[in-house]
Amino acid sequence: MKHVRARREASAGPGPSAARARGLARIATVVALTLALAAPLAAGDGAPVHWGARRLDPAALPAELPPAARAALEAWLPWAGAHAYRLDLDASGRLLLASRASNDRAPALLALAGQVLARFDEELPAPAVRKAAQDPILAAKAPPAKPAPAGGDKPLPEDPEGEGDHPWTLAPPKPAPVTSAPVVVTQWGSHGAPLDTQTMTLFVATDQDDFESLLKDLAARFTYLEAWSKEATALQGFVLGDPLCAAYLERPDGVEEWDPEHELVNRFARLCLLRRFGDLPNWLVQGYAWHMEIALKGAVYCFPWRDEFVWATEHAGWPAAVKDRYQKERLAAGHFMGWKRGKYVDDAAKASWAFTSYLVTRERARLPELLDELRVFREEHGRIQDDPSSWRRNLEYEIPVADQQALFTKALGDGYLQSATLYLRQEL
Amino acid sequence: MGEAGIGGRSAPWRVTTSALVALAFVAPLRADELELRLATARAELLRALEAHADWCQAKRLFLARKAVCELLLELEPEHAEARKALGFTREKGGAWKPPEKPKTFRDFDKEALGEEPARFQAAVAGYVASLTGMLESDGLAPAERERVGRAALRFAPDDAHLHELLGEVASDHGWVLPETVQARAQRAVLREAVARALAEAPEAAPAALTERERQIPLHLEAVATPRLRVVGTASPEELALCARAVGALERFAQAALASQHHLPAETTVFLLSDPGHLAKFLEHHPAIRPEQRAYYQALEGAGIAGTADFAFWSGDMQRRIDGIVRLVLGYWISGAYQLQVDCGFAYEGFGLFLTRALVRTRLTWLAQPSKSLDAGADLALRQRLIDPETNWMDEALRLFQEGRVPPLGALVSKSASELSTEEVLYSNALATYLLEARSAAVPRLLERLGNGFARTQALHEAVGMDQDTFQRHFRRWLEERR
Repeated sequence: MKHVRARREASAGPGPSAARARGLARIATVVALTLALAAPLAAGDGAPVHWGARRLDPAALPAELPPAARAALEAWLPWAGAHAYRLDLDASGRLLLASRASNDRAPALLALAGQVLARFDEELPAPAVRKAAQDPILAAKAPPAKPAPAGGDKPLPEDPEGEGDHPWTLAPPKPAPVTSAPVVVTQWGSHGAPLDTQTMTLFVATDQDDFESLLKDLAARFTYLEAWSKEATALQGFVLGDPLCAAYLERPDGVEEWDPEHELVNRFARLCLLRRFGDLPNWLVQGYAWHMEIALKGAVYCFPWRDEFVWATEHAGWPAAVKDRYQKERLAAGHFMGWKRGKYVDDAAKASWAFTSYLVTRERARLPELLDELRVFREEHGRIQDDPSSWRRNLEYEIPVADQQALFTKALGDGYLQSATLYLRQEL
Repeated sequence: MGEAGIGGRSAPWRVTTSALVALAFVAPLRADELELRLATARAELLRALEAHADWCQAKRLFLARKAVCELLLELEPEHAEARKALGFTREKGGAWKPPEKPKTFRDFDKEALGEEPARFQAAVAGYVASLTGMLESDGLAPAERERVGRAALRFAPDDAHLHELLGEVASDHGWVLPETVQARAQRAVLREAVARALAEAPEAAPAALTERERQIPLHLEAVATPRLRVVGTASPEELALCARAVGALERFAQAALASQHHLPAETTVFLLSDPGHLAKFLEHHPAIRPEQRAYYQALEGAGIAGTADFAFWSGDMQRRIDGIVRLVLGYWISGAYQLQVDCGFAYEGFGLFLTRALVRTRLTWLAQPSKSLDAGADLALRQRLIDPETNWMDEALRLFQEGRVPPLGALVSKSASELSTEEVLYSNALATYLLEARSAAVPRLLERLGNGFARTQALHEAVGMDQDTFQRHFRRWLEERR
């Protein structure tokens, strides 16, 4: 028997405190932040930079560098230089790995990340056609037609005799022009960038000091992370959707059962999901990350939110445990679809992994569209309308089980849970 | 019309009618009595119109007779002689069938045609007199007065006595409510008050940071007047403009709401040009405890509890100044009249009106989703209301036209955070009515509301009429506010 000390986790969002902090992350504000968060690139920072096999000059990044990769590099060169880190960009420009420069394992870690990326591309390609979430009315591209004036030919005036020469000098605002122009992203961070376009940044923090420095840097760039970043100093890693990045400690103090390679595989798999499909149900994100861990490393070492004894046999024992359970009962949506972030639930965790494995194995062709449906549903329903001019994401939102079931039934047919049960019994 | 003509009702009815009219002058009318008197007056009107139609027939004024017959049909849809005169035929089942080809009518006797209008007026004069008598009896409920008055005015639209009986006054735009005339005059007074307040607002001058302001690690600048400081990361121009707005606000509120209440001498406004400055502000403001920071972070701006400090950290210059004016105005009203956000219609209504009057914007308001609109329509209404070109008074009139007027009883019981979009809209219009048309009653109303007096009663007292009457009155006032 081995013990995993309090494993503190943050994934896909900064959690409730940050959700509150982001209460004002309104539409207009996001635009303002985009402009305000430009992190100037300090010349001569000295961090080694590699792009695939090429070593790059940080002061003269090549023109052919993809814009998102360039933005990520420019954003993190100062921090990397200040902390003696190296930056390794994978050949496709989709992953930027930041690790201590003295760590000669960086190429191996990049190779491992490459395996995750290759498997992810194979298992979960982008949908051929992406669905678009319906805008809330305030953000609608075509504003609703104005009704005819109630006052007859022309509206009742606010000032029947006119304002005269009003002495207040600041003119009332003009109506905001409505535009459907695409978002132009030039800074690192999500900022409404289209899916599948950002460079994921993965930090391998050598020690607690580096980890805390990283959190501080993130909080300075993204003010809505400020409150969360203070609590996050107690974590051993995190995965964030906005900005799209993850980090883990290579050797967290006091945690006995820890395999940094599993951390990389698990967290990077989640980053890949976020990049391509946005926010998905917790069970699916965790399930897929474990699927990747077992597929590449043959065992599970990442147990988010878990603080209890872990049997040594458990790491590789999930397939047998699930198989055993579902010999006796049928898989039900309630076993896993209602599992929320923040608490480790062993049965739900194993069922999540098992069902995700079924999906990837047996329903692969339908998965991209289904995941896109889930994303759109979440985008449309996970909104909080604060006032007429603004709304924000409800970071705590989870798609209700009944709605998930409806979406899965629509995509996979009525008998999908029965088929999955048979898979778990016979093929897992 | 033929020989029988339209007339021919029995004479005794007339005697009875006269007796009822005489009785009506001495006692208030019960509802059934009113209906009886109206029916009697109407019967008399029918007979008079029938007789007039007969006269038109006799004088070969067929077009004029047609108009009388149409009026008869409107008053009594089953009027057989009128239908026949208009070419209707009766089917076997008894239903009236309109003429397949509309009949053409002409007036032939030109001399009689010149006489016709006066004869028509003479025909309806008895009806008008009967209804006028009812109004003079002073025994009618407000809704009944309105109904009787409108019925009489249909036949005597220029009858000054009738208009006066209905409480109307003559104006350049015809007969209108007294409040319409009063509001026009009061708007000029308010405009003058705004101009004076802004002109007299002390000029703000650059000032050194105080010790507590220096504790906030932001690049702060400050301007000050003798009784106000405006500090922030916003531009010096914005700080000075904000100081002018807040200085004028106090003067304007004093004039509009008839109170000499002053803001505290140490009033300080913080304007943060970037929401990113908020964390440091919250962390280093001496009156904000760590456990309060999350609360403030979820807002766009706020008064700092326990101080005379106000801060706004969202939006652009207009948004920040509008927000500060609303915040400080709310603070001033709560000091002058103990009126808090729990009295939503007054807090929002007066706040929106006064803010717009002073700085021409109405950017700070919150509302719950509408109860009577679906989510899409509610958002569309919100979207319209935030458009600076949308006319809120016109939108308020639409509430009446579409039967979506919030019930006053429920409205006045709500806090500001409970108001729906429509209720915010209505509250703004109501405050406009009160400040323009009933300005003398406003201070007492605010006192009553602030002192916990029953709100519906306080409002009743201010407008001098019951809720149903007021809603009709209010709608008419809106329609006349041009």
